[in-house]
Amino acid sequence: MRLLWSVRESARHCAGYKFTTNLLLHKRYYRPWGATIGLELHVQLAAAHKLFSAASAKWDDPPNTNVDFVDAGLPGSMPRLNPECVSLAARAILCLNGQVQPRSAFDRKHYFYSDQPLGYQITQQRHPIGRGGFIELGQADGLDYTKRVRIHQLQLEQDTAKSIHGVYPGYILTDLNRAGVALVEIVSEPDMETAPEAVHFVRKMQSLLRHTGVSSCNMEDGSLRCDVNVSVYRGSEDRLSGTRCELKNLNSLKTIRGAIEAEVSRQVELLSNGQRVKQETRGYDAHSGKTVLARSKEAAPDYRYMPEPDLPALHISEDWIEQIRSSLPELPEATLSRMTRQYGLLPEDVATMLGEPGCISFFEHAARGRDPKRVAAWITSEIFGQLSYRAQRLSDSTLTVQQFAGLLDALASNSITSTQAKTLLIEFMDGDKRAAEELIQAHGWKVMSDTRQLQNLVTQLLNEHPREAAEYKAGHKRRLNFFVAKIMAATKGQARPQDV
Amino acid sequence: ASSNLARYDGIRYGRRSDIRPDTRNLQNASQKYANTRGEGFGAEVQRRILLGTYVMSSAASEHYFTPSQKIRRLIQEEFDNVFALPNALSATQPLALSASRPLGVDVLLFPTATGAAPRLDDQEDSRVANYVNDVMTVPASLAGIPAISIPAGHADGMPLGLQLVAQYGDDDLLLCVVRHL
Repeated sequence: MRLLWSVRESARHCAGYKFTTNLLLHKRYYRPWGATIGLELHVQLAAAHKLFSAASAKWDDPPNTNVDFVDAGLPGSMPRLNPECVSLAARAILCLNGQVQPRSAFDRKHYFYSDQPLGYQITQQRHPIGRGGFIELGQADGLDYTKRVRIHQLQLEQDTAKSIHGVYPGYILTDLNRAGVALVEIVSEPDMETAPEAVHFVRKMQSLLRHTGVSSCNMEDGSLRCDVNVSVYRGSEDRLSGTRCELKNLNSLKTIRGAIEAEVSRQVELLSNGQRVKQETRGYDAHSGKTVLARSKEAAPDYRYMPEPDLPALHISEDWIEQIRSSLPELPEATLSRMTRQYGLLPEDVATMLGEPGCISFFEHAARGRDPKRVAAWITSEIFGQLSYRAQRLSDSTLTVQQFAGLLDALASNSITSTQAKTLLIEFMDGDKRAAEELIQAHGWKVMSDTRQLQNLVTQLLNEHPREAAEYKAGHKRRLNFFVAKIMAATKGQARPQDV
Repeated sequence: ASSNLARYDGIRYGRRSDIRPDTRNLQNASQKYANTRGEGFGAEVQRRILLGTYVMSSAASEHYFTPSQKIRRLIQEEFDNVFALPNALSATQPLALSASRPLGVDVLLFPTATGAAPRLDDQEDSRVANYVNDVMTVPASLAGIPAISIPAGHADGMPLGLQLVAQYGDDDLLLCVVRHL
């Protein structure tokens, strides 16, 4: 105990409690405290219609325009399961290595609130559609060790309406467009031990679900929401022995990380002082960097779960599951290992390309018959640089594979310089639809490979700048760049730097 | 009932309480619901909602709700043992007429109430005694099978009712029998 105090006190003098947390949890140091972290993710499915009604699930329509009878809870209206949502849920389960349950059933979870038109939410607490599964985190995901995080279950449920506060004082405005939209709730096992692991888990989940078309998984527009459960334990005790607190309303990866670290510090501090951790629901205040009480255990509602009498059990056949499985695209891990093997690329580059939808197939088309490393380099630095500058996705860009291929060929055969190639790229991405050869012709570019012309230019330059020439001869190698730059300017980029 | 009636809060449709709750405290939105529902629901409905809510609460549900669902299944089975036609909901194979039980019946006949229609001025004082009158109609509701009540003469000037009950899905048979009676 004494050691722990002195470590903490000195750490505080250094850089605040964040340093303390990392010190306490970093695997390389002696670890008196450990953290047990589990996540509950709510993911909006990318289905066209809602889970139990035929209303559209589009999120950006004017308020209260996509409302069916059962979404508003009109008397006598009945829910009817949308098969597209079941397919998407099955895709999610399969890409997480889980088991799609042949029989699952729906429950009602009761509570009163303005965002709950029926007074209950239809969910699958007790008989979910998916059980088991895992996510492997490793180097490609940003962790310098491997970690497997298991999934407990995946269930279908309805989203609530959107409640808008603060527009008219004293009123809560309710937009029913979101009421009844299909969600899957993904519950992880409490396998995570540090805040970075949790953040990487969420990132990987986003990547997998986007890749399989299950959801757009954005925390910014609410298609991904995350709650965290945190408890701590002393080094020698059981990982699950601590009292856990739930952290809600975490709306970005940064918030998740900050909240977990703040909560772990808080719990360690309480327990070190001989106090007990009370089971609570807490939120995170980014300004103070601390978690704050939202609801104590006594105030937690009793949801009165009951089987949903209006919906029969959901039976799924093996054949149907196999059909879904065979329609899944190649998963990122498989792509990563295949591409590092097949093309000799670095894992980081493949991972970068994987992060951009459509990029892998773009690369594979362009790399046919060309040097894959050069293609990858162009994509990850030049093309991605341009995309980021324009705030575009690759799928929105006007650049075609043929244009890119033409550019690469011209570059490889020395018909254009790299500067000219970059200009071509910008023109392609600005919307020019012509092929590479056409544009090159139109520009009238030719590489200045006439060495006599070049030599004349160099001599002229050396005469004009005798001081710099002398400096170079005296050993200042950097002066070479000065001359190269001058020549590039003089030839308008048509000389190749190497020749100079 | 407490579940299906949860949607009646006056927010999206229907009558809404005029009492304005304390608008400074938005956490008290539930007070608005309480006022609307308190005014809108009659006393008997409120009683049943409270009972249902209690029975489904986490403390009570395994003592009351779960056993009651099991008893309901037993009631369904008792009816299944009596009817000639098998119950389509519990059948795992497609039904064939040859699957009917040879000693089974097609239709059950018994009274709708425990006596003739009561007069307005001789209401029982005890509420539970009132509920006893329901005992003739509750079995068909719990088993989820079709039932129909028909007038059947008079006793002391007050009408009597008889009911006919058939197996799940056999609604047409009931209507046919009644047409002939």
